[in-house]
Amino acid sequence: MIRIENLSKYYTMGTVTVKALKGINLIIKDGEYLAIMGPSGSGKSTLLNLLGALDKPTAGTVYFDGINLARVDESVLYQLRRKKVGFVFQSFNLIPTLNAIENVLIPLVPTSVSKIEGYKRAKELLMTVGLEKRILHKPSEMSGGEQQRVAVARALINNPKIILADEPTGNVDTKTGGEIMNLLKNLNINMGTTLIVVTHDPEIGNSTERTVQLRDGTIVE
Amino acid sequence: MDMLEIVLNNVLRRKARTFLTLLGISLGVAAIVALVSLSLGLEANALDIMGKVTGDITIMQEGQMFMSSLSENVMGDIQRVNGVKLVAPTVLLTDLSKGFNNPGAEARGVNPDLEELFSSSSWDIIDGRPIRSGDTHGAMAGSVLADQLNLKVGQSIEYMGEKFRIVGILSFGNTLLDQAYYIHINTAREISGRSYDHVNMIRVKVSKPGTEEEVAKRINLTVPGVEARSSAAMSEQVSEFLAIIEKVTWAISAVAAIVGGVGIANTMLMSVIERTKEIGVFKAVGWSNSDVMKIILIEGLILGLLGGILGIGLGYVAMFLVKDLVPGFAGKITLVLIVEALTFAISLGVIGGIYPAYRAAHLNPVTALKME
Repeated sequence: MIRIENLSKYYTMGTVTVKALKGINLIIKDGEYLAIMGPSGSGKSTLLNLLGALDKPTAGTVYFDGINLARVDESVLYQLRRKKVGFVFQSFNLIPTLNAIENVLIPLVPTSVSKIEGYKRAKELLMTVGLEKRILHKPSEMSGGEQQRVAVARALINNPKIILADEPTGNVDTKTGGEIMNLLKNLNINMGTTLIVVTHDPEIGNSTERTVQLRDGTIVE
Repeated sequence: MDMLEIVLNNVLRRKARTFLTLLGISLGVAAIVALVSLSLGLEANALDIMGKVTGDITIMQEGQMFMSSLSENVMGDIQRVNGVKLVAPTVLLTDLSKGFNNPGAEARGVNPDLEELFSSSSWDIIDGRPIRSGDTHGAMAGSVLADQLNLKVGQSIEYMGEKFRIVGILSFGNTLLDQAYYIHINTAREISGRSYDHVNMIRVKVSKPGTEEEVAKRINLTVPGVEARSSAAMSEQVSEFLAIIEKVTWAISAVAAIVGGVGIANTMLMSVIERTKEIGVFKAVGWSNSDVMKIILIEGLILGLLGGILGIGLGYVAMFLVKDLVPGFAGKITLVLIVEALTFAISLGVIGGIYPAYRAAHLNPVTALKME
């Protein structure tokens, strides 16, 4: 479970302080499928980064399974990202020089999971996302939708409790976007993975159990 | 997949840049290998020559090392000194018409009968025979010289305007000694216009091993006008001199290698900046700061290692080139030198990687992911 209390995040850009989040309160239950919506600059991505232990809040707290993320040091944060969180980004963020299966394996590199076990798991995941014929292809040899599915497989390799997707369909066409959302939804339904999606797309918003609307750093409904 | 695979993948990503970086560090390492190996070779040669031709004790004119001139008459006095077993004279000649340091320019005038007694245990007669007292125009050629000029027994050669016939090819197993002609001492004096009793140095063998120092002292006390040095004492002087050369060569090449190391640091810093977003991804999927640091340091290590290997190869080639151009220079590559050069190169790579690695490790993942 994730519990957010009075969460604020301010950025300093030169002499200007940007208040990206201003005192948010939110509870996300395990296995929930949640959409975070709102216009550009409303603080959606900032909230997602704080939920995923990628960033530290300026004020307030994020309790992730009882751990206060504002109070722990970097070594706890990366352990959390490694073991419990899977990120899916709008621009895929694959490593261009590595092929599909190598990209999926990146999170396992610094862990003690054996090579054989890792390859087996990565292969299974690539099959799950329908890329069994693209295992050795580089990102430049794949379509946007295929790249995003590699990114989903990468997010899943550590069996995360929660998937954080930042505009996952933003860089693919509508049909492919629908396929990717179905993939993520199935994970949520079949494996009980908590799914939090930041999106502009009202259709995605309508398909979730709950939608949080952000405006100027605060929750409006 | 492991970190090494990611690193190799990355090193191969920009082949031209990697190659130039490696070239930078390898030229430094090559300089180390070539210069140090040549100075080591010089040292081995110099130490060898002390033991072999000079005998146990070398006697020269007092206060002179390179321009020593003595009368053969002192040999009787030296022979009478307690502990002296054998005495043999040498006249050193250089035929400047052949060019300084060129093959065939150097000759040594020796007393054939005495020399056979004195050197028979340290030379190998590869072909023919040693010169005899009747061989006024017979010469022995060192094996290296024989190879260089393709000399055969029976062949005629010209030295300082005189004709000589090769009677034998000999080898002391030492480049410097094997690069000279050996002719009759009287002929040597005649063709160089020196007096009938002139010698440059006198070599002594002692009766009992271990008494060299003691006998040398005795000679210095009893025979006027000469300076006797034991091989050990001479080697020590030579070693000290050579150690200075070795240090200077290290210093020169270290500067070159450090320039290569700065190249590594520069390449890696650029590569880190270029990959900021990728590093952000690594961190987002759970890599720790030290994991990120490790991967950059491994990259530095690999660049250093590859540069080191390439440099040792280049240094080896350079050493052979110098050896061919400068006769008497024998390069010597020891295992210690290879290990030292490799360690040096790897250290440079890792040290060059420290700052880029630190920078990469402390990137804020959110900022890094926003980079395009």
